[in-house]
Amino acid sequence: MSALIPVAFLQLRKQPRRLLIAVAGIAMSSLGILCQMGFEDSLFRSATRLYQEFDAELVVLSPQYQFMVLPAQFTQRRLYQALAVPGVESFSTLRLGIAPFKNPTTRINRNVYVVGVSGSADAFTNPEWEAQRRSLKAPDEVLFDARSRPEFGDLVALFRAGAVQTEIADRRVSIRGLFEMGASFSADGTAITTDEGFARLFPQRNSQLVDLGLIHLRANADVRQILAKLQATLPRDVVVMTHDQLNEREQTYWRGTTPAGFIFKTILGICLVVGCVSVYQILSSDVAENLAQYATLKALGYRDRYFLALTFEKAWLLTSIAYPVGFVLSAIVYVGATHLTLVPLVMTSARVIGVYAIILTAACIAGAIAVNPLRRSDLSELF
Amino acid sequence: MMPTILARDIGFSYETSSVLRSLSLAVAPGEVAVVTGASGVGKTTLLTLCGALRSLQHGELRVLGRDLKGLGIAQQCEIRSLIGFIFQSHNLIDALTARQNVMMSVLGHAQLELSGRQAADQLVTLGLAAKVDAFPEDLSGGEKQRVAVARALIRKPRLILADEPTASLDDLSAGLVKEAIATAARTTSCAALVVTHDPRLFEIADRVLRLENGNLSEA
Repeated sequence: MSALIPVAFLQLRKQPRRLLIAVAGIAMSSLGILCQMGFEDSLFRSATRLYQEFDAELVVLSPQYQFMVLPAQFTQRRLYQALAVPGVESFSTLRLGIAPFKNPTTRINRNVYVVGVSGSADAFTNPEWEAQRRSLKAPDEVLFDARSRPEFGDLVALFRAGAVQTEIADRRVSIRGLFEMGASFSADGTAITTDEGFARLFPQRNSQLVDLGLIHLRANADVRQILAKLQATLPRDVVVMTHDQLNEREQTYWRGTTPAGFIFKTILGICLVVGCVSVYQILSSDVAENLAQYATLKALGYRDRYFLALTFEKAWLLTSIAYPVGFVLSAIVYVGATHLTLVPLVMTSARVIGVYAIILTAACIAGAIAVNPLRRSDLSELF
Repeated sequence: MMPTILARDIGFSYETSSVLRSLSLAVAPGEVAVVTGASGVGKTTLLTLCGALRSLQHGELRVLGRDLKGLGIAQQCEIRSLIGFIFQSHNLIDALTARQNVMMSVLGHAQLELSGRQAADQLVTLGLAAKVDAFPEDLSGGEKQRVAVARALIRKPRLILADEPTASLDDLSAGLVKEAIATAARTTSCAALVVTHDPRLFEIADRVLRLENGNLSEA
């Protein structure tokens, strides 16, 4: 029966104010980490959201290409050259640019990300996008992302009410259809048009130059083999990579080249420290206040590992009480932030479990440090 | 029969002074030995040595048949688990009731199969029937001390080491503590080494020893 005495729980409950402070600290730490990870994931996912929809096994780009908003052009002759490699079936070209979009209601300009797509092969894996793209006939027709920021106007309602006409880069355009993607940290809104439409909006651009080439392979083609062949065949003024490598490169840019990755890591570290300090404070105070009591138990034959286990149990209890609070708060933040920024924040079960494990581990480490003075206590001082 | 405590020529010095000099002592099972003497003569040092709470410097000290010299932590813990310590300060855990504090004494001693009822019985024996489920903050100093005594006795120790167990108790409480120690010695052959200035404890002593100049003599 004695083994059933919930010592850790009873001791935590005995100091409700201190318990509340520790729970608040860990909850805030959990909230911070969950939000940080959500924002980071959202940033990196939104950065490749458009790219993930590309229907291509391989992509061709300029070595000067940095990321989707700062691309670099190369001659589309390289794509024709690629067709000579066995296994390559077709290609599509993408031209990327940013131009002012006039809100049809307020007439206020806001920059929109413009994607010019050419080629008879499928450019997008999403069948709805692809069908919409193929419906673009005239150069003044565009598709618009229905989940772009509201500053572009209530285009969904306007579109339902009838044809929407506005201006991109001071050129009259007609919105032919809507697709759903969502804003990202680098683009508030996205419009898709044909290569003729793109040339009309960016007349200064050389029509022979493209930003990305999407390479479509024959069925059952060996992607690695063709990739190697293309890399060996095409001149060094282009690079060839797999679709996944492009997505990874885009994310690496955000993680490594921009300050975003560093900022997110710093926030993560700060949140973890806050959690650790909260746990350490309550557990070290507990050890300090009960040093004589614990030393008495040691004199009665208790081993150090009992106190370590007791401290771990407290760390587990604190984390288990505080984490759900942090989780609920972060879920609210996720919903609010998604609503405000239109950049979807997704709470994955892997993240929920992973952050709990991180917080619990940090709490146990803090607990192990807190219990140190007891390990060094001099039992002979008890008498 | 092997004495519960057998000390031969033990010595112990602090940095500036030597407190025990060639001290010898044998306490038989069931015997209550009371050690008295002026403050600072080394009474508590003797207790901590016998309780494996301090390392021996000189001589030979066998407790419960084990030589205490050079024992590892695990072996020290093992010996201490057979001893009932009664410290001058009660050191009860605030968050636990009197009963739970007593039960903590036998955590992990599965062979004892102690129940809450037995802990309560021990507290009743020490006059704490109304305080079994009280928290330490609701107990007087004397009551806390009696809980600490119950904590030491509940594990049915083979040796009781007590330091001024009745110092803060009134006559009634002191009588209960005295009786509890004497009963344990009589009924379970538990030896007791009690350090005290309190003459009330001499009544249960088989021997009263005086510690003077680092050595023991019959008082």
